[in-house]
Amino acid sequence: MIKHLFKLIWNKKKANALISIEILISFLVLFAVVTMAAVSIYRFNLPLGYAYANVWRISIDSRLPFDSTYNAVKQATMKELLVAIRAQPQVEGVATFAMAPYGNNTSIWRDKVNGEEITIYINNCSEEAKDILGMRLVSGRWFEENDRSLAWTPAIVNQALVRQRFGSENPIGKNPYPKGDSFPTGRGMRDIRIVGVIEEFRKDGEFSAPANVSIEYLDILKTTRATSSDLLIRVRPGTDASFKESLDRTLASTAKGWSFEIKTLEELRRANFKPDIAVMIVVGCIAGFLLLMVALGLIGVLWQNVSRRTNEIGLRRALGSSARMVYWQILGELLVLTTFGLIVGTAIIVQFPLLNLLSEIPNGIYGVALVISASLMYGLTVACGLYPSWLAMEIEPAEALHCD
Amino acid sequence: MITLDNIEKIYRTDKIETVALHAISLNIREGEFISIMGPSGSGKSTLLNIMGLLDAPSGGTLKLAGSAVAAQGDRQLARIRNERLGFIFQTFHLIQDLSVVDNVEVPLLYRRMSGAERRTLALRALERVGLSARVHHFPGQLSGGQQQRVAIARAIVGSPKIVLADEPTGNLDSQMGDDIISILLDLNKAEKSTIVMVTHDPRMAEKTERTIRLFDGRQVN
Repeated sequence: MIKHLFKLIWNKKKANALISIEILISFLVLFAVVTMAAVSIYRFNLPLGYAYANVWRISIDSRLPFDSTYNAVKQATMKELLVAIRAQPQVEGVATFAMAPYGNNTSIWRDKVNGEEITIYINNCSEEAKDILGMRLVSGRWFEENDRSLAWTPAIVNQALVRQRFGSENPIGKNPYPKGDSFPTGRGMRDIRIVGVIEEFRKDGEFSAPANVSIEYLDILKTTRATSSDLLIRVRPGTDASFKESLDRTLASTAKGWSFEIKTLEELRRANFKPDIAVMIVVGCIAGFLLLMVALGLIGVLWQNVSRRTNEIGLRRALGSSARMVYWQILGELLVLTTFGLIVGTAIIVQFPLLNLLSEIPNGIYGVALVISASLMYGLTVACGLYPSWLAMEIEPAEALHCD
Repeated sequence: MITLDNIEKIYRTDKIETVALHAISLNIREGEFISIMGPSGSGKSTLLNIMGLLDAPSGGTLKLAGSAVAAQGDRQLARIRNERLGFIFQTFHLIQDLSVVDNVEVPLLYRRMSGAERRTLALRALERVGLSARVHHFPGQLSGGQQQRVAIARAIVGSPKIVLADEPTGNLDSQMGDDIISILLDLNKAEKSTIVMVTHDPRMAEKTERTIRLFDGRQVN
């Protein structure tokens, strides 16, 4: 019977091509949406590399221009600020972080090494950051106070960077950047040495793609080398928002002329989620609307198809098909058409992993998204075919055979 | 083979009741070739549809090979149609998107049978009606007479005991009509098939063993 259905559809390929194309396009759109959702869920469940609970960010605007010498005035003010912050009973610790989690600023190094493009997200933090953010060291050591006096720059990198740059070699003591890199900063020429490896550090939050990260050491007193800098503080559990105001007053009275913005990492996280979720909702709505249009179109086409084939349905009943068999035949034909569309769609989709067109998406995600979107397409087409199939089943053979 | 006892068919709407068949009683023996004649609207096709289990009578009893079929469900009726009955229609009712041989195979799709077995039986049936050279043609490429031969091949492919023909020569010229009747007569003689043929043409009816005449839904002979 399946062979018969294939033959019936193949012999009417011109008429059926449009339905299959409609199914194909819907499948591709659905696949894109499902992939996006699957990627988001996959990333959401990846290790973040830090804990954001009870961590607050203090953004400092020293209103002074960038000063590469980290002048003494700035450092003295910074020292006073740190004393004032640490004196607060609600504060458990303080660290500096050039680009704190969920912030908008990013510093990227990108170059080709042996034909392979390498991207590294650069960051800086002080030795206290590990405890403030609960970062986990996998090998080597974390930054320490003595690092301030070193003639070279210690760096902590994540495992992804180690895998790409050094493979199975021990990265400790090596420069994360290749020598002779073409980037103007010439990081590969500077004496930067890896001292430790962390599992992960995804600064941009749960929906961000895993990336190579290199965090270089930054003396907390040099926090304000740039006009704007961030301090991270860990507060005792249960510290409420009222502490923000009192801390702000303390900071403003300590560093006159500087301004501060205090936010919890949870607030920043929520704000960070908004654009991702908004995109997902918009894309989901567009895809949903498209699928609704496709569903209505399919119902219409199938309905018309059944009306046009009343005679044939009557004949099949006369030749031995039960009403239930007619029902399954109409649904079966639709499933065959869906299969045609899905086969072409799958052939297009497999090009993405084969040609590595979107390297950020793991191959497993394609497989999962393919299975889910194909199942949804089958579900959608079957749902669209139920009513026309029922209509076909209800056709009286004696009447149908006299229809022309 | 076919026994009709007091068969009635009444079409009812909200306001009108139309009697299509009134107290029809018939006994058609196994291997008999009968014709049903009557003017348009006399109930010939309705009677044939009831015999072919395509329509249910409003009253009376229908027996096929001694068994009453009134209490059968849709699936059982479909099975009886498939295994015991063959249909030939005035307008051939071939599926235009299927080749000749695929059209002939259609009744066998509803039986448990391999594709190769189906193909063998379909080719044999086509050979029987003299269409072996046209198996891969499509209905649109055949003349009316050839299309009706395909329909006969489809009707006999499953070796049914009863063939019901609804004006099989109605759309054909006299020469083609004669050819079709010859095939049916041959089938009746060789296979001992019971054939019930509705016709308007007295010339065709003369060739059958017995003619039942209907007028306004009543049997008049």
